[in-house]
Amino acid sequence: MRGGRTRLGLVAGAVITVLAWPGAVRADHGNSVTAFSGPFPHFAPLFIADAKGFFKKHGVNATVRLFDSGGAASAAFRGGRADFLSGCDFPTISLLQVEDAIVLAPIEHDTDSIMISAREGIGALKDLKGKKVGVPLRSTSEFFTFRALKDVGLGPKDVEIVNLGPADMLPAVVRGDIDVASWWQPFGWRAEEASGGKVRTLVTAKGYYTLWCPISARRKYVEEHPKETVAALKALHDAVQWLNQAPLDEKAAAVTEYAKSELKTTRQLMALLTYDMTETAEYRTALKEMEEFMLKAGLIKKAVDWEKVRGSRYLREVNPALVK
Amino acid sequence: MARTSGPAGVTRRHGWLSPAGALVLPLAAWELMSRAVLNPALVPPPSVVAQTAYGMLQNGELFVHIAISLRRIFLGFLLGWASGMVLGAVAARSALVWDALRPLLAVCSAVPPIALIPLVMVWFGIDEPARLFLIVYLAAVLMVPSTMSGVRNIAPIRIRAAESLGARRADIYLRIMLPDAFPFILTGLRITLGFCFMVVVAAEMIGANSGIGYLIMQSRYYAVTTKMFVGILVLGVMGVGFDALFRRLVAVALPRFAVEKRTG
Amino acid sequence: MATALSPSGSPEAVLAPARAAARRGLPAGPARQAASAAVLVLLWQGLSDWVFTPSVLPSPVTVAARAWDLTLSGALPRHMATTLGRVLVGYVTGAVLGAAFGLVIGCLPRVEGLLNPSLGFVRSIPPIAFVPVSIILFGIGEASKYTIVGYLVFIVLALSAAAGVREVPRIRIRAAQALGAPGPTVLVKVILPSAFPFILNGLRVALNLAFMAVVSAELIGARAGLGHLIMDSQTMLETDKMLVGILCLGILGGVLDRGADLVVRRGLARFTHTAA
Repeated sequence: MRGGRTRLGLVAGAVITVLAWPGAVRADHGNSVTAFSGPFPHFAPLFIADAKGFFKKHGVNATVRLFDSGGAASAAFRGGRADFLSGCDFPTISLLQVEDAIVLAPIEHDTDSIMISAREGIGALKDLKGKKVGVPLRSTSEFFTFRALKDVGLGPKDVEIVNLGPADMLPAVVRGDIDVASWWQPFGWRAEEASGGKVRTLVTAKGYYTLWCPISARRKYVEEHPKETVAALKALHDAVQWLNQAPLDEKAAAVTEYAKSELKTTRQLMALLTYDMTETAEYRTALKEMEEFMLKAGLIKKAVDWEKVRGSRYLREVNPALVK
Repeated sequence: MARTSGPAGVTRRHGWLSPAGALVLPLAAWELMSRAVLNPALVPPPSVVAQTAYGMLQNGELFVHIAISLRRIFLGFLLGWASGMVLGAVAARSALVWDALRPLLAVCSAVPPIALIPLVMVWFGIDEPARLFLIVYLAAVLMVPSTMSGVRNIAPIRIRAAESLGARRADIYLRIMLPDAFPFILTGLRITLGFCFMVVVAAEMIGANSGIGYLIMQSRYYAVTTKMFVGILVLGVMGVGFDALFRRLVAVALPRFAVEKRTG
Repeated sequence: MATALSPSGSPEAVLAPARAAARRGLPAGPARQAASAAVLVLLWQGLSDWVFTPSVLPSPVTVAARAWDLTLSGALPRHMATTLGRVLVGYVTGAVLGAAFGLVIGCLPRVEGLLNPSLGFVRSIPPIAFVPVSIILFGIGEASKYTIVGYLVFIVLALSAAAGVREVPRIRIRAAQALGAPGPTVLVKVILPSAFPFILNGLRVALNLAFMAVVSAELIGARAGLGHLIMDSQTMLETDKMLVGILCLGILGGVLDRGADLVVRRGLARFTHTAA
């Protein structure tokens, strides 16, 4: 009995020590700018602006919080706890439905990170007919999938759509529960590895559409703090320039460290991405096309008033050449 | 020496079989299945998982995750237990409070915490308070019914006897009501603790950047299956371990209320 | 029945009227409960009007209107039916298999000792963490969802049944054997009835667990179901739809729970435990 109590005391002591271990909760600095983002290298300008001190350089006291996904970041943004949000086209337009936000500038675009993988035996898009296609609905991939299908004359009824997140699609496509996975890197690479080559890239978004990832901000914040907004944009622009002149290894290492991701994957992914804050006609058209798709599919109810929503005038103050 | 009870509590010795040894068979089966039947890239065999876990232990990563999750669980558990117990005790003694509480409690106990995450994020933010809230909420909701059963179990005649002998209010609470109610409360505590371990995964989906739940979901999201399995294993071991610890604690410190190995 | 002096009996409780009413199966003071619910709704309305923005906390009216729309379009009934179906199938399958398994291993204490750590371990894994494992093992169809709903049910029932077998008074078994009853008869006529209260308790706990698991299960490629509705609304930031889903989930769970309560009280009262 006494031996039992001694042992118990030791265990209790160990437990208490563990509990007293300081938590990893970062204290809120009470900063003037908070930005939420997903941890993907698409949003690297945000990370670099923080990590390399560009925010500080322009007098912006920024806190950047990373979330598991763009969706989680959006949900948190709506809770009113951030001023800036980086996301891709689809989540950004969804956000505009419920939040009075301004889309300030694109920070990245690419055509190869969004792609479709398929099991052996499926050689071309038209082979998708009648097959099981995994698509994370309510995402950019939904748009891409139907766009690609339309191109070969197939409609949503011609395939069997299975709604899955990319993490769940991975075992599904490797096992063969689904024949096709419409998703984004690095899942395509992972599936290829895990399946020993049975699952390969069928097609990327190249030729179909370009993924654009803009940075948005709460309208109230922007209108009350125009100077800080421009300063933040300037910092991001510096970051973009840094990214464009840094060698791949260096920038991949910086982003991996910041986002606590995996170096090999980050590096592979960053080789596909273009960082650029120029607001081009192509960018404007791409967002409009996405909006149209979402309206037609009933995913959003109101059309976006692009004149009101675009933050070009702030971008112009960073550098007039950025707005084409 | 492992002992289990047979029918009517007859104890048997098993000699070379012990609880730890009992894990050898499932682990071996898993190792085999993973390498031979399933895809080792999707289901890493225990040997690989152990390797990954070892690496994570060495660089301290695993310890941090475990410590933080434990902190959340116990903090949430204690706060939830306290509030649930107070609410339950009050509700058991006052029909008015019970009626007021009942509709809310009915809805709350029927909605799984994970479904509340989007709401909690919007209302409480994405920091520790939000995560703790989810755990506290679950613990409180679970403790109310068992506290009420416990309080209802108190023999009023003993209270009246004590009162007629001039006992103070505090003494009545501590020496009569508490011991009578305790067996029910204790069972509720054990169940609640188990649930708190489960809900920490959901809680850590709210903007956490460390913790076992975070480890599992993060690894899953980036398809790093080895780390995901490390997380799942650690969570399972933690759950079983603390349940056993709880029972041991009760058996040693409060032998009157020793919880039998029942419904798990 | 224990006397009033024994704490483990059922003497008149501190609050006799409530207790008696509860025994009759009637809520004490339904008027007060309804009033309380009304107060909550008013509080909700107040919060949504003055404290939070409509997109963060839609008013009860908005949510009710949305629920009405969804009901009219047939979507809500479909979601509720789908979720209910998944819960029931997973629950019944898990319960039947688990109880059978538990009865068997309860008779083989050595086997039970071997399996206990593994069962306890899986029991500690929440459904959301089990989802990726289930997908890898069972794929992405309904089977996977039923597994996620049912695995905890299975374990709880197995442990309950095994405990029930363990608690059967030896003397009853010996008596039956002395009277010449063959093995299976002993199992069915002696062990099963004695173990039943434990199994019943397990069934109650497991129902709760099954319900909690169904939301996680519906994260796998579902296109219908309340869990799917909730998660989907989050992606599209439709808080009112989300609240509809959450409330319906709560109602469904509450109804199931009360239903189970009623079944136990009316039909199986003699099998329940009076203590613990």
